[in-house]
Amino acid sequence: MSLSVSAVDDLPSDAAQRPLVRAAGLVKEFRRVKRVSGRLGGLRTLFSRDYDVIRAVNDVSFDIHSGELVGYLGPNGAGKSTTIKMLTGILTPTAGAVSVADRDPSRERKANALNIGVVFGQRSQLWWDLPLRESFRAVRDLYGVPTMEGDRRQHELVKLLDMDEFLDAPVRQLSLGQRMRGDIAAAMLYQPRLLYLDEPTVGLDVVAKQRIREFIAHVNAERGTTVVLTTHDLEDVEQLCRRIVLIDHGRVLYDGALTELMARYAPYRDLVVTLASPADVAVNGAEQIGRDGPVVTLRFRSDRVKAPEIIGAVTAAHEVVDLSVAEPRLEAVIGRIYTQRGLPESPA
Amino acid sequence: MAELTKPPSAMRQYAILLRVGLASAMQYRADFVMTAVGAICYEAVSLAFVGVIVYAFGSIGGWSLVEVAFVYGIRSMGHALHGILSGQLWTADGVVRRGEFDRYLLRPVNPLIQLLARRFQVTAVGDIVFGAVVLAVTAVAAPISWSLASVVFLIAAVIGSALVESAVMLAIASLTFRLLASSPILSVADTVFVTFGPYPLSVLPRTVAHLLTFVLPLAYAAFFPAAVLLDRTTELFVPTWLAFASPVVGLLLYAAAVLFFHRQMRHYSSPGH
Repeated sequence: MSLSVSAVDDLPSDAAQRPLVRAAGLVKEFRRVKRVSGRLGGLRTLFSRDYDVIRAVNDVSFDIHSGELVGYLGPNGAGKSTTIKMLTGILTPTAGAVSVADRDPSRERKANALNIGVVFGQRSQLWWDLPLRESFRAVRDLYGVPTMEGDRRQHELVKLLDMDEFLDAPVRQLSLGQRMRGDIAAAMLYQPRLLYLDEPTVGLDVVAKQRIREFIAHVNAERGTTVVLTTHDLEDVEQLCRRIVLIDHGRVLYDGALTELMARYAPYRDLVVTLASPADVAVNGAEQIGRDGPVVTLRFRSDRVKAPEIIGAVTAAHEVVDLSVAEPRLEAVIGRIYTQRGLPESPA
Repeated sequence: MAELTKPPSAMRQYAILLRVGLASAMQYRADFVMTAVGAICYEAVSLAFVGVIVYAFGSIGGWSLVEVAFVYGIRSMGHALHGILSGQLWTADGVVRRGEFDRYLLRPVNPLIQLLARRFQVTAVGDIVFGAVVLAVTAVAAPISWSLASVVFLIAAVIGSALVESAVMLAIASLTFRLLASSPILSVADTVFVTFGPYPLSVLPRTVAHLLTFVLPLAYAAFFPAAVLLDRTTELFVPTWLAFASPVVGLLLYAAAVLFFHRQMRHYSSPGH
């Protein structure tokens, strides 16, 4: 089974257009001192020269073009953060090359910093004790955003993210959702071409999540900001990303369109019928995958049979009280990939 | 649009971060005042201690009370300036271990500047007030006939003193990138500076005096410049020109420490993979 599958067909593939982000054969190894056990183990560990080499990222390659909104997914410990840290210049790759707007992020850190905005959901980059407004002012001053331009952008961001009421509150007093909006706005003040969002919706309520998603979609569509989104919330991905890059064990498992992934690994629909009297259902082209009293779930390949045919067959044989057709969820597909730690075989 | 955005100079960015750091510290006014007052009390106690010792012995190695106090004055003011510049180095290991350093690498600002200016060192306000008073009093009391040249040398010596101490602390803090812990070593160095800083090192055994000149170079921080100004260079254990060069030594050491920091920074491996 090949580990990496490419299915980039409906995405910009114009060879003349240079990608904004290019990762080629990225490798990152960490050395961890081997613990010495036994007598004086702690002290001996201190002077030990024995290392375990941990390969967090193992030959990762992908291109991201201007204007894309890419979901960068993988289970915990897959190597996502390490990749993002190499793309942002925080870490230097052990092997391979990264370029962002034709710059090496770790060598030309300062120049790269102007091109990128980075938001970590778990860690704020704002000044904890200062009012949000002061954090914005500090960011604008440090990046050298011209005053008029900065005022205009800040005003726009405050309106878009509805931050008026808490602009003068110290960051430490903000709710998680407010703080996250503040963090995202701070990363957009100098209008970077590329925005990295690392779990921007983690821990937020439904409304707050939705607001963040709408904003991400807006800056991508209206300003053409390229977005790389790391998240464990697959609803973020379903709503926002056309393309996903899926990694595990430091390797790319899938890079391509979201629809393609679904078509390939979940090309089925589930028909849920409630019968007047409990019974097993057997119809051609569908398989009964579950039964709970009178509620029966049938699964069929949507590329082979049409839903009305199955429904017709079921109603012909049984008295049906209620029915619904469910689309497969990305969560189910990704869940399978994570548990198998590899791409499942395409259903035959 | 991005072309309009051009980060200001490093000095300007440092000033911006100091402003932000000061504003953060002022959010807690009571804390600000108490910390500053506390610093003054701490320094006063240590001055009293030096006074008691010199008073008990009459003099140290032929240095009178006012002369020792003058060494203390230079050291005290230098230490206060050092506190403003480098106080945040004590937090370096936390910054690196918790990954706050990630954020420094994401901004178009030198990471060292961001570390140095991450908070305003409130104790330094007390130290500055105290140091200025002690230096002024001891400079007047000391048997020195002040001229323009000697005043200029004194100012350079105080700045050099701050740079020597900052250079040592910065070099140690740079080890954080590999060791992930530097504050215990910083404590050791700080103790050496506090213990030996205010005394005429010529009274110490030669080996110790040499160690404090060439290994942990605190002789340049107060003793050498004081000996120059008090015209006691004949009893030094180094060539006179080296004592005169103390401010320059401070500058060179600090430049070397900054280079060392940037080299060690390459070993930074951000926490959490």
